Amino acid sequence: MSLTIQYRTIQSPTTGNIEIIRLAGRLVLGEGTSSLRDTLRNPAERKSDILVDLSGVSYVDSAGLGELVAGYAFMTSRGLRMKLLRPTARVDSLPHITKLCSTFEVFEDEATALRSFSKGE
Amino acid sequence: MPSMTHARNETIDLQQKLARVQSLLEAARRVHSTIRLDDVLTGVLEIAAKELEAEGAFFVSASSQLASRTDIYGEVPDDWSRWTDSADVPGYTGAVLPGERGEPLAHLVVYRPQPLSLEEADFLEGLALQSALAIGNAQHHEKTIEWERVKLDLDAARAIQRSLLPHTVPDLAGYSLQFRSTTCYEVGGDYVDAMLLPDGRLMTVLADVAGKGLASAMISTTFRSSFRAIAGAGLPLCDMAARLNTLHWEEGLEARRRYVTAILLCLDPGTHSFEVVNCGHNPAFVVSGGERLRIGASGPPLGMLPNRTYETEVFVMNPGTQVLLYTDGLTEVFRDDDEFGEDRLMDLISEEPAKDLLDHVWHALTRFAGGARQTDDMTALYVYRA
Repeated sequence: MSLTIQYRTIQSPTTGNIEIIRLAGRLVLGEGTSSLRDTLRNPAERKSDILVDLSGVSYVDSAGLGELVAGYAFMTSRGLRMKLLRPTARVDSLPHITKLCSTFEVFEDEATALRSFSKGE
Repeated sequence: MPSMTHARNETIDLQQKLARVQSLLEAARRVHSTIRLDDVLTGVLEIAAKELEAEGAFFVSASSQLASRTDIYGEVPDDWSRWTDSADVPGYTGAVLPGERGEPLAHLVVYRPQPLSLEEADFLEGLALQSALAIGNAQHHEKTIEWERVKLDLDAARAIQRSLLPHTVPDLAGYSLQFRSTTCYEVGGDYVDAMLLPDGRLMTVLADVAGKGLASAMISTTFRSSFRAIAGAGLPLCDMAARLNTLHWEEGLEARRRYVTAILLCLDPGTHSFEVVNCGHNPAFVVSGGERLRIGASGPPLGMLPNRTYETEVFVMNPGTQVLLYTDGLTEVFRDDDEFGEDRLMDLISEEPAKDLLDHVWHALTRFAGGARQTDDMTALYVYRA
């Protein structure tokens, strides 16, 4: 199964615009990483914080993880935030191996994740 | 004598048709006599113009690859580019060159002020069909030559990468060191190295660049240079890791995307101990005196994030202690949905050191995969104290 990407924007007076990017399928080297790169790194469209919903992702390989981190670095370099939502077990093991938990903020439910974007937090 | 005149006309007609068929056969022979694309294209235009006594001929193609490789043959009016297969421009006649799936590959167009007869139009269509076949063959030939060139490049890259593996296994009294590395493509992103330092310690590294194939292989070669340059500088292992992280990060975005998970291990035969730093890599296995340990990561992969720190762990190397470092290509071998995993790999290590452990591991993985093709680079380094 290739990677599919869906978008949803949440607007709130406390958090501003947050784009929820829901990934489903396999985030692996090739088409998957290219699609995510295009999505995360399009400067013309990228003006809001991002919550990446990984609940539909069945597998992430090292290149997929590299793309998530590259996206994170791209966002922070522009003063924007990127957080992760509901990584599945197979995905969850990679950041643990690579000690990335301290880099990514990871949430188990969407409401808590969205609140975390409130200004001042 | 109308019947005789009629018969004579039919004979002339048949002779003309025969002549056309003969000329088409001759044209086909000439078109197929070369597999060089440029010669095919030029030859077709020349045949079309000469056989049909046209003033000029040219190809019209949506494919830039074909369009850019042909000139107009002969003389055509300046408005020649107005010709399309749907526009009826006086003086021009076109015939389609069908592609492999029947789609129009291009059009062969001739310019002649007098309209073509039916037989001449048939000839043009026949020539276009033969041209399509000859162009297809020539393009296939070009791709084959190009692929051969790429393959030669990859073979050379593979030879270079193999030559960058340690030429000899450092000889350390009382210790045994073995390694093995196999790539899933021509070249890979795994890297293993071992060298004796001037103070008698053994410095080893096992690393895995994110991704696989040529791009990862290039990054692994860069990483090797950095590692080799600072391995003998006398830095503490954790500082070496931090330095490698910074060097890789500073290589830029592409390198960061292809970060490196690595384990640095330095064995001191004088004190029978080893230091180890795991940089975002799979856990290293240590089997010693009935104990089984896994040495996890103390920091993220090298080159992924700036300004990271790592921690060194120190272990005693008692007689019989075994250490196995490996890349995830070993643990992520699948049989359907069942992953080989760390536990099965650890179980392959028995209490007593085994000279043929890596043979045993590779054999077990091949058996587990059931003959399926290797999907990731696989590298392991095994060291034990006798």
